[in-house]
Amino acid sequence: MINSKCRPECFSYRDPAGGAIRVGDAFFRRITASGWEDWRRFNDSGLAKDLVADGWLLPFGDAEKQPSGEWLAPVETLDFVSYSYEWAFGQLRDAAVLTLELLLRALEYGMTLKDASSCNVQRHRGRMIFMDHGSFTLYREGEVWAGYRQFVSHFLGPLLLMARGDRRHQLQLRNFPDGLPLDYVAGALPQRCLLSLPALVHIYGHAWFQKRLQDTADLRQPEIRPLPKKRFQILLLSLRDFLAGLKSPSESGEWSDYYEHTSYSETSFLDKQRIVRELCREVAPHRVVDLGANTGVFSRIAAETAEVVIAADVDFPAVDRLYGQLQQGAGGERIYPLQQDLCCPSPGLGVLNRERLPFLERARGDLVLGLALIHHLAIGNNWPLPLVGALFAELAPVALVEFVPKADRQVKRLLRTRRDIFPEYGRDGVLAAFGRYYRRVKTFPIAGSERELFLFDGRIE
Amino acid sequence: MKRSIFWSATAAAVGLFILPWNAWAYLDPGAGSMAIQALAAAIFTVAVFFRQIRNRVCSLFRRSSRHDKQ
Repeated sequence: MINSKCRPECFSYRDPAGGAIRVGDAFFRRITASGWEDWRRFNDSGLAKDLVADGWLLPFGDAEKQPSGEWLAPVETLDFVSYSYEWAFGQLRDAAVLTLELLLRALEYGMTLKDASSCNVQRHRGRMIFMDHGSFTLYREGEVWAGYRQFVSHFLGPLLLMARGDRRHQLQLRNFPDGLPLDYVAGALPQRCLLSLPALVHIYGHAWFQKRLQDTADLRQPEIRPLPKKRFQILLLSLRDFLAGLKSPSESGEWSDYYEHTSYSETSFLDKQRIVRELCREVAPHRVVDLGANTGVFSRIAAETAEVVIAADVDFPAVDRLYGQLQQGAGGERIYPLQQDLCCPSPGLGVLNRERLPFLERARGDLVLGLALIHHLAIGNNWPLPLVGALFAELAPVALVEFVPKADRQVKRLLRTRRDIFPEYGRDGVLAAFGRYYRRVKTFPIAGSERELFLFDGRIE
Repeated sequence: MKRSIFWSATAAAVGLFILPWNAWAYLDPGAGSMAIQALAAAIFTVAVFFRQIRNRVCSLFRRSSRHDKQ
């Protein structure tokens, strides 16, 4: 018996019909008396079974009544939770398309979605999956969609801004937890978007209607024209087709072409891959965090042994490219691409700072990779070396770190336009700094280069 | 038979006006967002209609050019 009266989770508190609760490592869907009718309809209609069979909905078990009068249904646990402000462009687009597909399917069963938050969708074992089982409610002919504004603010607006404006607008989703305000999107989009019918209607027209009707002093319930089901479906289909055709900005990122322009010889690169592969096998981690993953060459190697690999990089195009490659090829089921600036990692946000958890808390694993990374933190961003060590120690008890000496072309590039104020940056300095947090170290020279790999191990033998 | 169709259509038409258009969910859909949906749906229904006509005309031309080549 589970006490469902424990504090509601901060990530699932808005809907009086239910929410999600965590008990230890397990998750449950909580259904209150007011949500029971919809839950029963969702299951009895066959919609739930249909969605799970298609791999669109996170699998869940039967709901059991609790002494509190509520029902709890066990839900499959997600390997890793991330938020829309960290996703690749394609990931946000796929989440949007899935939400619309799901709504279209629900309409066939006489149900609809009561909301359209990007938090309802997560990447799970290689695909986007819907995880808010409590979102489904009875559809009544002619009603408008309550989640329309949220859909535009969470998906369409940010995607349009990222595709047609500046890719970095995505980070504004951190500041607006319930999606980007439409007047903000309309103001930030380039004017040529006025020529696009979806942008004209869903963004500019929508923002105009909002402003016109919200500024009124009239307290009566607004008269709303009915929306026939057929037209509603056409609206959703047109939105889906438009979103499915949106592409991420094509310009090359700072690091996404790193491997094409690096000073590595093929021998060195292959030797580095060999060492990483061998060490991953030796450490046998369940969960790996690859910091500065770029387009995921070493994340893929880590995924040969680990169940979950979080591939974080600061560069938007690199993350977009990795996600695109993972969707096209096989073997990406265990990799979770993530945009993350280590100088400003995702903080705790929302209610009690616990609605969206900080990156460093979510990403903790058994092994952290920092390949060709620490010189960017120490020299590119002036991090004292002990702080670099602290970051790695925060994330995992074992760290595999690539040391790039000052004689290397990449470090020379960083020092090209500035004074060298980093006398401590060197082999000994790195070993000493990481030695504060890790007990043992093994070193591996990379053939054909002056670079070295250090395996720091903080586990108790 | 005809009578039952008549009554079903009448019930649907009456129902359309009795039922609330706005879903009273936990989320505030916003007056502007509710108001624009019917208009947006009408615009895209017309757009889809014309796109279908355009596609049919294009497919006719494509078919005739294929016949010419053969």
